[in-house]
Amino acid sequence: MGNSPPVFKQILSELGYDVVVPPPPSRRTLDLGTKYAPEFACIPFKILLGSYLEAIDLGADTIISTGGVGPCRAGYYGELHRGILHDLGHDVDLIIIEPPLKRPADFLRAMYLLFRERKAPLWKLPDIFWRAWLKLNAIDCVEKASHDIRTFEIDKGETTTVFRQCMEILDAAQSKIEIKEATDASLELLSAIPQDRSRDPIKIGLIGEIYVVLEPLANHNVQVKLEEMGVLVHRSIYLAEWTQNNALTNREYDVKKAAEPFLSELVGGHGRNSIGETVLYAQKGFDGVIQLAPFACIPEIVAKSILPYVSRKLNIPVMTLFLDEQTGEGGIRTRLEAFVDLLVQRKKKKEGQLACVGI
Amino acid sequence: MSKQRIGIPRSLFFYSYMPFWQTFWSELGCEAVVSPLTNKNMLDQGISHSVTDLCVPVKIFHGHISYLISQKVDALFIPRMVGVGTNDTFCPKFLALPEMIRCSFSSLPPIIAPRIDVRGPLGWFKLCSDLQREWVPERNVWGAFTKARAAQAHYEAQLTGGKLPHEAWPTFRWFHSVEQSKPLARTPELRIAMLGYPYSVYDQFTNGDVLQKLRNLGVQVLTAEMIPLGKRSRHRLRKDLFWHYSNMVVQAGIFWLNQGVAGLIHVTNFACGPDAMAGKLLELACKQQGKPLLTLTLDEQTGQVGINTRIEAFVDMLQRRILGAHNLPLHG
Repeated sequence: MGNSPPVFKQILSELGYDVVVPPPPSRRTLDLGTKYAPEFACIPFKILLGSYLEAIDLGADTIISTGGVGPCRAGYYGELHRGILHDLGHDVDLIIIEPPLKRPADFLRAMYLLFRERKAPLWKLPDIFWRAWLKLNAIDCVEKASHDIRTFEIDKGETTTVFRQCMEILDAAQSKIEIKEATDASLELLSAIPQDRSRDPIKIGLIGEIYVVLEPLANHNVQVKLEEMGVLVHRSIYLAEWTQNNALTNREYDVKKAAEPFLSELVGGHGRNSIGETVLYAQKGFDGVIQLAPFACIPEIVAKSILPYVSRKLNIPVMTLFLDEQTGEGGIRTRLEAFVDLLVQRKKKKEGQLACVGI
Repeated sequence: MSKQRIGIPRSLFFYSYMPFWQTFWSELGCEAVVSPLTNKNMLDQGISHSVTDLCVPVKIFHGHISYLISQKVDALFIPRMVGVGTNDTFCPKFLALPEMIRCSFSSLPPIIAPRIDVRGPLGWFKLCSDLQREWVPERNVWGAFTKARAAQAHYEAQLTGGKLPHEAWPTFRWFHSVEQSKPLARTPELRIAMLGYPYSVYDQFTNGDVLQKLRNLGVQVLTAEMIPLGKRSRHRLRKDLFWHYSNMVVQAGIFWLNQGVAGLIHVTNFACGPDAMAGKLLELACKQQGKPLLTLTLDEQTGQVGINTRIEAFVDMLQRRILGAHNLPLHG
């Protein structure tokens, strides 16, 4: 998912596994997944299935994934992936890590399977996980910095090139000190990019389902596209932050509270968050919100059917992009350009710069 | 004071819990206004009031609501179905139904939207007495509650006895419309299980009356509702699905496969999220047992002729398999 694979690779290889990292999801991955997945499964399911098949081709015999308790479908994907892979005749072990409090027996079983063959001694585990956590945070921090800069870059595309270098630097970092140094070096590289800070960009909030928000293949790199159009984009979800807010503590209280007047029930996935984040973006004076969602994602459809009302009430334009394996680059780009155009006109009108409106 | 008129949409939860709510509100001295069978006009109304990506049953639900609004009811009954004592919940669209309706219509009568997440008779009683206290405070809840429960039990007994919902309704006192189904054309020789959510299987408009069509072809149709809960839940999966109706469909599928039906028909809706999972599980189960599966995907574009052709072809194929001339591949 996004830039996180190196972190999981590090954890597992330090536990003593031979890690197979499938190539970053590509068109081929998606095609492979689409071929064997149920038609109306969402795009994350298809990309994951494709990645599993690619990893199996590279020799993987064990796959680690996460479970869940619904009502979003993703919590059941592991089970179904296992069924499909076995049906295809692949003899792989699928270790599904279930939430420890809701399904303790399954969680402990997964932990047993996971640590059965570990080579690292027990006392090293906290250190392994702590460094992985630091690295995840470092990646998020560098990525955030790149998003702050790309909108203002003078040479189009430079930030993306530099960011790729930064990821390589971070990937090589192992110890705590190395991670710290790599982060500093990356941030320095990024801030050296020539920028034009006199621009006054419009601001768009990016919301939606976590997987398609984080995975560039699924969303056709919407955030970078927008930034290269000169828009300042704030993304609502970063992996480390999300893990901290959801799995470890429960700090999304403000988002839930903001959603309360419009949707009081938990509908699974990021449905309620999408509503709450739209409300917060409206309050913070953003010019617009883009909702990214996998096609046929139930929680996001629920959100989508409520968002027009939120949008009217709080006077903030919202555009929804439903994504699947059929979604084309061109269609996405056109819709983004049209949306940005609309927001620019609205902003000018608000500031009184537009002499004649409605021609 | 004239009777309070409470609008109950004939959609979604209707097919499972109708006798209960109908009896409950009538016994409390209200008039329960049930919307008629889905028709073209309701579908069109529903489509115009809802967002594109919703599934067709929820769009139809919008249509029923719009009909009830036009009937000038005093309140709409839209329960938020969360759980009914099993460990699963309903589809997220059920969970947010009252809010979705509120955001889709500009003017609405008051909505009665109890959060239904109950276990056992005590939970139901508490829910009912809360409803009574809020909406009909001058009445007594006890009589209404016991009668409603009796009606529901009577209804479920008829379903497990092999009746379809619209055949069971005429036995109720409140039933006055004509929804009799025609008797079988000839003695059934083929047994086919028709699985799907009650609001797709029993809504004759959306599914083009597949049930009757099958019966005319001389097929005995078996549905999920015909299995007593105790027997069905013996066929649980290693990990249950999260959604009440989906578990019902998958368990029923495995149950009927074990009972030796000739084949399964899975009635689903275009882009139905839970069904993407349930359908695949049924497919894997059928494959294991070497039984054919027909998936009928419905949406507002579905034409009657297409359904008929597929049903006829499926039944034909099953009959040939029974006659032994079945060197036909599983997937047609």
